[in-house]
Amino acid sequence: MKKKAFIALVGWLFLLSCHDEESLMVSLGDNYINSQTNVALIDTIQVLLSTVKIDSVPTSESDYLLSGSYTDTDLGKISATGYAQIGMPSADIDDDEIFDSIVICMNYSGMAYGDTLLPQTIKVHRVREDIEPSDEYDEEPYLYNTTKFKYDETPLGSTTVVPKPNFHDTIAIRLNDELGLEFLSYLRDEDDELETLSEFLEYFQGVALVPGDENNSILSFDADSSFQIKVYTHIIEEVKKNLTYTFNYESTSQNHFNNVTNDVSGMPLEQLTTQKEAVSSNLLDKRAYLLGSLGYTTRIDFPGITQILEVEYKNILYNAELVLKPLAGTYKNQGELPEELLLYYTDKRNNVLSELTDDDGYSIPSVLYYDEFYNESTQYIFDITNFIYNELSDGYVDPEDGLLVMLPDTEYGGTLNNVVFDARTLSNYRPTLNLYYVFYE
Amino acid sequence: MNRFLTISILFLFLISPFCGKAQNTVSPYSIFGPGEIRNGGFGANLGMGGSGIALESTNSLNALNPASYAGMDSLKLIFEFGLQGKGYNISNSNQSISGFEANLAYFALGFKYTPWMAGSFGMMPFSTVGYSINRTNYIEGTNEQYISQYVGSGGITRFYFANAIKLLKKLSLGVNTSYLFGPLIQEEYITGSTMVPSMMIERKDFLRSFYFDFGLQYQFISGRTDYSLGLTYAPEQSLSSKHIVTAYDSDYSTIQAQQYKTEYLVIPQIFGAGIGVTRERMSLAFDYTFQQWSNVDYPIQAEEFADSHRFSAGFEVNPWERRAINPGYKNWTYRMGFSHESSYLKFGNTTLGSNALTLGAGIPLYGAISNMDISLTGGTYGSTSGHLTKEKYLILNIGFSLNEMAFLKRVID
Repeated sequence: MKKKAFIALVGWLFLLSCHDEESLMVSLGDNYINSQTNVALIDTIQVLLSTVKIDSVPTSESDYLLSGSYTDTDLGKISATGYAQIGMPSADIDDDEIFDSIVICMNYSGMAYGDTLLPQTIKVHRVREDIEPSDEYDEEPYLYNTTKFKYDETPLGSTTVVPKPNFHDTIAIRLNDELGLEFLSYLRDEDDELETLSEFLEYFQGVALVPGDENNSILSFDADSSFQIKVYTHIIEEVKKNLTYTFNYESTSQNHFNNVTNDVSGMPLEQLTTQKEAVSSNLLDKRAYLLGSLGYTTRIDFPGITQILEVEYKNILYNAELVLKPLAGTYKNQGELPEELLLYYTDKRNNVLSELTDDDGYSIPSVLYYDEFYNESTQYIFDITNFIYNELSDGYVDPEDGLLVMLPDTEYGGTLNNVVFDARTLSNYRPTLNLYYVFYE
Repeated sequence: MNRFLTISILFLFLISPFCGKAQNTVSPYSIFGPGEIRNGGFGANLGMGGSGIALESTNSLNALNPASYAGMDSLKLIFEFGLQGKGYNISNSNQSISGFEANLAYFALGFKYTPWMAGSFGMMPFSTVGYSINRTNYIEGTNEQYISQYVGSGGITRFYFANAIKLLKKLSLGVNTSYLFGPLIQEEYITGSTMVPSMMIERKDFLRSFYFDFGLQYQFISGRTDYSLGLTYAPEQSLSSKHIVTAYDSDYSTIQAQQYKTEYLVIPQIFGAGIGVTRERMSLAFDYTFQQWSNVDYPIQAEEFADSHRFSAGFEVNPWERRAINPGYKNWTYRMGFSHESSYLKFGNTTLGSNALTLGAGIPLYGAISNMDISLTGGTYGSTSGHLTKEKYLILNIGFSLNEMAFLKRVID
């Protein structure tokens, strides 16, 4: 009996101790195994592009002041007038000082739109209203591209130059001597001396940089302390002494903004009058527009998106990307295309809702692939996985939910950065929604 | 009675590893179908190349045909268990590995209720799964490739309860009811790339299914020679299982999981026929088994299965008459067997085949009423053509048939 138990015990131990874990990794040949998992790219969901014009674009947060005008074949005649307040220096001006000249100085930001090879006129006008957000915008104290303030008809000064924003740092425009003398008199220690900034701003509300009629470009200037008015004087004591008083723009307290308008009369974009309507690319020669400061944005719709809910197999939709191509010929080089674009949720009234972000709330900027050699595969790729997930999360997809392509905040209100999206259906391109699925059984 | 209790305790002891994790077969072919199906024979049959559809269960249990139990000696309670050790070498055109595994091969108890009815129950592996296979896939709609690695494990365990009755003096019928259980697990690891996320899809089947098979045996005598014929049959049966598909991301958190009942695991119709010839101290057995796999489809297979055919022949001899005073080896039973199978797996033009040769001996224990059956089987399975693999193996099987005079002892107690 003991023997029997012994044998059984040995057998049992044998079973436990001898087990080889090593295994042979083989490939039986891909033809023999029917994969029960399929990773597939599905790009058949229709993508519709349309153009929306945001009613008003806040331009007072921008780092740039714009001035000029040019005519775009699609977007019409675009005109920009920059408005800025100017501060006051604290100065102790001698009664014997003699006024020489008054000049406004501006730094080129390096960006320009239109044709800068032709001469441009910039007229500096004195503003006659307080440059301030109106009370009705209390919640968002912005000045918009549609905001206007009265200014003197006669300019304080003007210049016509062939601008070289990439070669020259600054532009200086001589202003009317009367203003210089007035400034000096108000700074002198007399009864009517202006002592505080607010007193000064009541007296001199600011300047408007108004383009001339024959302009072919819009120039961009830094809205910072380099934007200033200088008053030059001299005093003759033992020797002649030159003096300069600088009236600075101070970004912390002063207001500035850009009034930007365009005239599309007689052009396809004339159809766009209010933000509530979107004009399909079919009515705009298969194009969709995006333009900073004027509020043109491209709306994306996926009318067939409910198909996603109708997929019968078990699936994991792990990536969704939107591919949009800028229309070849509407840009000359990579520099003319915005580096990054963002997407915002929108509803059927084209309201700009929240930004499409990743799970942690960070922006997901588009990626621009620039095809230097042929221009054919230049495209923006947007990761819209979270948009699709959000749409699917409640088991119901609203085909009226769409996306708006927007410029980043820094470019939205102070630049004329623009893209013309190609909405054609060609053999090798169409606006595409790429859905990456893992199907499995 | 004391012995019987000891055996029962050992029984439980032996069951426990069965219920644990199943063994690796390390055969890439076990990805197909319900895994690699184990042939059902016990010690004595294994020594004869797995033959014995026509043979009766006399001193040992013959699980190849449920009708065989009717031939048991009326006063015997037979307890069988077997241990198996397998050394193997698997190679394909560019690599090769060797290994060893060992496990409990089976255990069973046979008993006779009446002179015309007997039964048996027991446990054994039905199939085993163990593989690791790579497959290159394309993202549909692109030219991008990615690699899936399939890792399989698990196996089906069979608990059976068989009963046989003598319909006529020489004709017996057996019905075998099995309960199949156990997990079949496939983990598919998708290697991530810029376009595909790393993920793992786990497919598990927990089988809980009945399975039935039937047998007939008929004996007749011609001169000094006993002849027997056996038939076995199992209809095509769908095994029901709880299927759980879980998709995990690269951090091993669940993305999606589904669970439902399914019956996709199908065992095809199986037909077996055997002839046994016994004369004096010699026996011969010839078996043929046909499995109609061509009727069966599994989702993982890309090509049709082929019908499988298995031929085996076995020879058993007691060269000397049994006597208590003989030196041990003269009381041994010597066995030999051969089998050839053309399996249900067909890849292109290659149908996988196996060939095996067995030598064995039955060693009497305890005054000839119990036996230890040892057999050594060497064989090959598969082919190294193309991407296929070939397995060469050597199996040592040690089986015990312990015959207790249980009913008799009880009277003495």
